[in-house]
Amino acid sequence: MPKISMTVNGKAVSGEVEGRTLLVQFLRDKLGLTGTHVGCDTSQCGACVVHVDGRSVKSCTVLAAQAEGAKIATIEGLAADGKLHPMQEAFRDNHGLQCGFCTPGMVMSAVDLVARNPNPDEHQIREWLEGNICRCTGYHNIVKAIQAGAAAMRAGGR
Amino acid sequence: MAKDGIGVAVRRKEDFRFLTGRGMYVDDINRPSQLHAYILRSPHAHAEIRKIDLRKAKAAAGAVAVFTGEDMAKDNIGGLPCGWQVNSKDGSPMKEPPHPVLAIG
Repeated sequence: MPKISMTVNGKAVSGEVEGRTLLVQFLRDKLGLTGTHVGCDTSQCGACVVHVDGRSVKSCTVLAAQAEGAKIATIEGLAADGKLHPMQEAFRDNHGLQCGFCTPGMVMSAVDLVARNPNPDEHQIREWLEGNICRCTGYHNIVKAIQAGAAAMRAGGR
Repeated sequence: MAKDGIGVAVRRKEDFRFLTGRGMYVDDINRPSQLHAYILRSPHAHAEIRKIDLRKAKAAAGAVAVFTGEDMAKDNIGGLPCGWQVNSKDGSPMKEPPHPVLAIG
């Protein structure tokens, strides 16, 4: 069984896993980081989105071994010192979540979008989120939340 | 703008843990010595169950218990009820088909 190591939310981690272990399984089962969710079998829903070396990635479609040596960021690592990230605040202030299952993936996707495009318009946000499915909200408030989060990130320089 | 009272938006209490990955959905729960349930679904689109043979399932490595509709019947657990009954054309009540929760062999 291959031994893999990587950095997750700033901490060095390692484990011995079967070669076929998905990154999402490694995060959830081995590291106990259950904020990243499995919502489908088909790489469609985006509930599993994390950041690998600064880019949003569907962790269900990456083998854990492929992330060897990489810097992983999950939803658990977004808040700093108990203070919510501006994108998280924006989702809360704009009612961008109901059941919350898709939310970690939405937030991680959104943070990557704003990192590349600091002022996305509605169309660009909806296009970017094509890989994230939400069953509850109808997306309307998610888009508003991301616009608000982007504004806050521009203002705060984060 | 008023801070509280009628018409003011109220922040939800649960959003903080949903947003920080502490939602604790069912698959996130991980307790010592927990068991996992597996629901066996029919491999056939349309078929009749002639009998159910549980021997291999019960003998499988790690299997703690195997349940069928017979076990539910023994515990007096009925099937799924039809929530909206209609009458037949002649006015007599409909014949409600049985909907056991687990298959009966």
